[in-house]
Amino acid sequence: MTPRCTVITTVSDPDRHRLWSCLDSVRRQTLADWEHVIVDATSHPSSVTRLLNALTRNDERVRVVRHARREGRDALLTEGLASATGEFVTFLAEHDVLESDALEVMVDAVAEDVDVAYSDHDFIAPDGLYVAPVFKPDFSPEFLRGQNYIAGVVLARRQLVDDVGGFRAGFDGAEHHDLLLRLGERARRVAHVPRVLYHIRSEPTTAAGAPEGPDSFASARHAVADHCRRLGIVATVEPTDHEGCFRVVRRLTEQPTVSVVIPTRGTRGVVWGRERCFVVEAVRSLIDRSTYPALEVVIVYDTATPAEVLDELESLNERPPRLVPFDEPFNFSAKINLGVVESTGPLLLLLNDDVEIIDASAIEELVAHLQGPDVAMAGAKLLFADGTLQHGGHVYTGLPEHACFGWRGDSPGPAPLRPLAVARECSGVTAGCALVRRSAFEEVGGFATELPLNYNDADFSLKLRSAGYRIIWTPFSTWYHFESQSRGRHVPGDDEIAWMRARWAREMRHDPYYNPNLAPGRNDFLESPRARRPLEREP
Amino acid sequence: MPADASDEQVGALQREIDRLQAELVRCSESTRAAEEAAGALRAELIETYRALDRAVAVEAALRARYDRWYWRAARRGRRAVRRLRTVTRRARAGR
Repeated sequence: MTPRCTVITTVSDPDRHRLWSCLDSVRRQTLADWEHVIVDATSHPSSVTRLLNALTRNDERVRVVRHARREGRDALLTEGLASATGEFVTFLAEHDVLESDALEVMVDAVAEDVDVAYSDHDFIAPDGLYVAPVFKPDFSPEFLRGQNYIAGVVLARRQLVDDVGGFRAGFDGAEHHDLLLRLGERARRVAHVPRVLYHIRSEPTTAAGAPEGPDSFASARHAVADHCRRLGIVATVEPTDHEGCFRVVRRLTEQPTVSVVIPTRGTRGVVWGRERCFVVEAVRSLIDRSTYPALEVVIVYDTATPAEVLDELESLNERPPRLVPFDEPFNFSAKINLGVVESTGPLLLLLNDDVEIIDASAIEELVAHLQGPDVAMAGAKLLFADGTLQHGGHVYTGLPEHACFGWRGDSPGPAPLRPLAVARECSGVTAGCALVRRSAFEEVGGFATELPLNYNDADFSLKLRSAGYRIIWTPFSTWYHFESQSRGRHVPGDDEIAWMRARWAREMRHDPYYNPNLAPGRNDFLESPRARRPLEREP
Repeated sequence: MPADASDEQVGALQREIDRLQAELVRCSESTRAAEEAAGALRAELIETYRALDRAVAVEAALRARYDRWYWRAARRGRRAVRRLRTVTRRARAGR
């Protein structure tokens, strides 16, 4: 027997025709057992009241609760919740529309241990067309702190909604974000249905639509700060350049030693018209610009490295980096593993030799993310010398790709999801600049020496994720990576591809932090042509 | 520098080195600015290509939908013509 599902709609100042579309979309639901609780808070008896009366007369599954007082939306939603009799509840705004099988699909997605499920959604343009689909990742708590990316149909166990305290006053315009944060803290599992089942009638300015009132972003910020307090995250929440997106600035409770492991051959190259020795400038930038106090630098150098490079490295600081020779054939993974063995810190910053720190607090930002017990690795935003994006987190859509490779360095990423604007979970990050917990590095056996050149970081990331850890990519730790831009387009060896596919066949095709509706083989969150329904409009 | 160079010569050379150094920094800064401008254009191109790909996908979906509509309409049309012929035939036969 399917459980009963209650849809709650608050009606305060609706357009009659749009309200009808909303109510009709619930009436057409294919789920066997649903009820629609409508909290009517319209100020004067009107055609809307007549419409609601007619609806309740004709269908006993629809119930209207009158709410005479003009109160905040939280009070209306709470009243709706109190009247709900279903095992599951979901919320539908007065002008939004559900797909006809939305409830059925969502109820099917709810397994024994799933307490909350959410779907993808899109927006209804003024001419009625469904536009700007938001194809979301699976549940990403860090991403949810940065912005309300969930919106859409959210089906939650009524009991859990009650347990977390339902809707709260003081979060005008961000009631749902606040509730989602609290549900995410307590839910045993949050499921994601990768189908557009909800249509929001709003401008797609953010993933959740246009702000609902002048203070909604301030309310959302307050909700995220409150969420951090509940979880014991000592942090301030700051707005970013992108509206509705926040940065959680964690305070470091301790400053453990960070061992910076840099494999090098002492290569020289030209950056911004001037020749430089990459590894020397990388270490110099750490010494001159980073404000992190406890750094230990370990440089693993090929024996072919020129002696003057080593001399220069030793003369850089009163505490010179530790130089570890490597006299075997080139193998990036083996060099990293050797450097880790030779280092002592509980945190490992894996760096390519051709990087340069930009933000003085770039290392602090990465360390802060590793304060979460289940986060094993944090990756940074890497920019080419020309300011374009080299690394925005990995996406696995066939083969590992860098998200939004080559986009503007300050781009928030494709709207309305804006995956580059906030810190988020991802399936992997590049070892060009990544902070790893030593215990996790050792637990998964370090880097695979079978992959001497390519994909060793993707393999390492997937090993961490299969061990149950989360990996965070953050745009608030920025570095230059003077890698050849053409290298991003180079073709790796067939044996490396075959090795990765043999070990991670499924993970290479199903990235939980991407979306199956996005086009395969791309890195820019472009929806697959099959997922588009451009001419469809609301019934 | 020759071992017997005068202080004046050393000073002049030092000033020349400083000038060249400043020139190098200026060149490096303008190279960087030029590279960043080129990077911004490249990024714009990438995003333009994405928009184009998106438009192509929309067009393909539109065409597929139009095709479905067209064939459905054609089938309806053919059925209507068949019905009309049947009715006409029966009418002529006096049934």
